[in-house]
Amino acid sequence: MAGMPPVDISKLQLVQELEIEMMSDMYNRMTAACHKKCIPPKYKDAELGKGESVCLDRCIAKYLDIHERIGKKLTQLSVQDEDLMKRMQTEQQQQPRT
Amino acid sequence: MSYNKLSELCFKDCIWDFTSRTVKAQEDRCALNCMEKYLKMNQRISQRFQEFQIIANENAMAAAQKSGAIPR
Repeated sequence: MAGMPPVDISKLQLVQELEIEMMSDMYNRMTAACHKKCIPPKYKDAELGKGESVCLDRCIAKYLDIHERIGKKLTQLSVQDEDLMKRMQTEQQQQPRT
Repeated sequence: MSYNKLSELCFKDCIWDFTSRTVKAQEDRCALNCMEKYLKMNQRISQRFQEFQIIANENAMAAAQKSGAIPR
């Protein structure tokens, strides 16, 4: 990473902290969601059943997959929005001149 | 931290009978099983999550190397 431009370390730290916070929030939500979907509220046994384990594995894989897809779509939309805004701004600036 | 959440969850799932103020043996068993199961579930989830993270990291590194951001 020698070729990297000098970055504000405090800013980088802030971004990292935010990322970690978001990750742990996502993790907690995922745990709650998969618990709700995979573990029936009958606790006759303290062990995870085979079906429950498989369900959890799939639930996590799917949750993370959806998380990624939605993130991609959101960034895509925000990029589109930004482009649109820029175009509108330049158009507005050009209008009074013509 | 998750102690409170665990109490809430297992209480909600196990305690339905409010005709008596003492905890029944059945309710006690249910709540303890609920706790143990939840902890095991957490273990499994964190393991799978870590696996996913490692793979995602590797993919990101490979993509970065491919695009030439990191030499070698």
